[in-house]
Amino acid sequence: MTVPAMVKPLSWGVKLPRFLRISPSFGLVALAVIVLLAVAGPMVSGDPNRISPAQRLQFFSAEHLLGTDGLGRDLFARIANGASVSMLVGLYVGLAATVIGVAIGLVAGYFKRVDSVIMRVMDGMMAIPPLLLAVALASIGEASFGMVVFALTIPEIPRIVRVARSEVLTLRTRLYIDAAVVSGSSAFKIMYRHIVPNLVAPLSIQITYVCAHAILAEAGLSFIGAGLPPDNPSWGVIVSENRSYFQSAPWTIFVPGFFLTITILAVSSLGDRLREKFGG
Amino acid sequence: MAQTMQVTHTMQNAAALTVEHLHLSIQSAAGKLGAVTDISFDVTPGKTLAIVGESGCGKSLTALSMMKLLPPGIAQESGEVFIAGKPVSGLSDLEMAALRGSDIAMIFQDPMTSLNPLVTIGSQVSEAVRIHQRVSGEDASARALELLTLAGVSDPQSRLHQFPHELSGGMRQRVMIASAMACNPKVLIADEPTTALDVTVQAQILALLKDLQERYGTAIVLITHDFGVVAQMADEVAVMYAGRIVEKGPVDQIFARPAHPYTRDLIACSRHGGSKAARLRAGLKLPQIPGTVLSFVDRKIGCNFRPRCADAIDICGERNPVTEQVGPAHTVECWNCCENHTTPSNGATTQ
Repeated sequence: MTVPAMVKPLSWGVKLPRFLRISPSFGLVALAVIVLLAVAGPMVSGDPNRISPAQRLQFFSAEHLLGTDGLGRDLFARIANGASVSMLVGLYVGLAATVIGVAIGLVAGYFKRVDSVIMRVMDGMMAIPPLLLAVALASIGEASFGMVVFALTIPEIPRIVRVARSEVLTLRTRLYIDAAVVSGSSAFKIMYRHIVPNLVAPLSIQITYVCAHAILAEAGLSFIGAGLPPDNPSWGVIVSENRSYFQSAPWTIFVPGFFLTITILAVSSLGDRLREKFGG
Repeated sequence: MAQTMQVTHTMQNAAALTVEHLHLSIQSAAGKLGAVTDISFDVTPGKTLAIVGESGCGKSLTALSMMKLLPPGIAQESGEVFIAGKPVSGLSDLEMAALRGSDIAMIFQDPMTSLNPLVTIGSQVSEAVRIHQRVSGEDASARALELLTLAGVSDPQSRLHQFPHELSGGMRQRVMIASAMACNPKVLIADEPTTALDVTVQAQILALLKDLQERYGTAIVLITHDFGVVAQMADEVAVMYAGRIVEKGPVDQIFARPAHPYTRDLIACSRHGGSKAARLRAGLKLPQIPGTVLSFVDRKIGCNFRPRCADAIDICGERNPVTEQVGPAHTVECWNCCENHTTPSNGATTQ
């Protein structure tokens, strides 16, 4: 293997025109708007499930900010509800995967004896396609929020475990870990006191990607009907319901699609910002 | 060749640390290889034993075995380590963890990385206190302040809230010493404590160790390769070569009448004849010992230092040297040294 004399930093080479470039603060602003929509939206808008057949498939108006769908339901109310579903799914999956993943990663990285066993199990878990697992679970039990979170968390755990474990392996060689051992600290104490704080930076990057991934996967699940029940409209449900009106009222699909895109983009660009900051 | 040596532990004369016939082996593809062979010494409270030798002599392994922290693949074949009269080999991990930091503490070579960069100085030192003593957070930080003051850290009150990167190397080593002394350990292992420091700071750190030793009666095991450090700190010296103690004795005897050629060479390497610039002007090179330490695989019968020894004679390659007394409490393992000394050899103890 030859090593080039001068290693250039990886770049796309092409500079995007200004209007296509995503400004660093875009992620934060967009995410703040979505969170505001998720929290305050359901309070100001009416019932997302109220049907008014007389007002079906209306375009944007003062009364219906984002128009109405095929059953005359207010799209703004449904989008706001969908925002809170997406945010919660991202949050819970991110949280659950992190807590479980960090615990497993710490054990795998710190105790060499169980390392290879744990990592092979993780490889197995990584091979599970999240959509198939969710469909399988949906066919067994009733569709619910908890089940969706569970189905999306399982395949994300190994990602966190891998990052956490590799960090632990590096940290273990640090002299201050040795110093803690020779001063009589227990393994548990060393982990939460000296190792976990050092995991925050590398993991926070990974967690944002897990969140973005989970939000997208939830929309996909809901679209194929293996996700949340329709009385709790998520963005995937809204797109799915309005498929047949695509030609007559395309905004019924574009609006939820737009919000989904912006959200994923916002969360991912947040991850990129963290990566720049921590140099991950 | 799992030889088990029956160690009869007679009442130690109040030694803080005793090592008896320690054998350590490394598991390799070629089978078990002796890394440390038949090492014995003891250190009394308030005294310093310097273990001197090149890299690869087994100094650090000996230190780690006292802590019971041998890396995987290295096993203690036989022998015993006693800390304050208590044998260590039978202790469980938990019992050993209770001993580490309270009865036996250790400081490392590189103070730049021995402190957690994310934790303040004060909380790292008070943590060392709280591991072994049930005290409130306030009492622990009061004790931390006291320890930092003792260790000569400048402006200790404000250091408590600083992070390691805000301190110089010498200050960090003082912090490490402060946390090592947190529970007044009976034994302090100092693994090349000044190697990574400026020459100007080295003497200060050694003086600090000496001062704390006098105050608390700590027994210090000093691992080094620098006879300058030995001269300043040690009461007794054990010179290690290829896993064996080749010469052991009181520090003044070792300097005045080094018996083993290896000891003589080591002293010659560190005894600087004037400044480096002056030496260069005079066209003198830095003294060196040609060759390297024999690897574990190449250690065969005979003296391990033979390939590098200027004074080697035929018998050096044929039989292992035996331990000979060359002065009061001064022993050496060499075939060719006793002509220089008046003490007759007791050739009865061949191996």
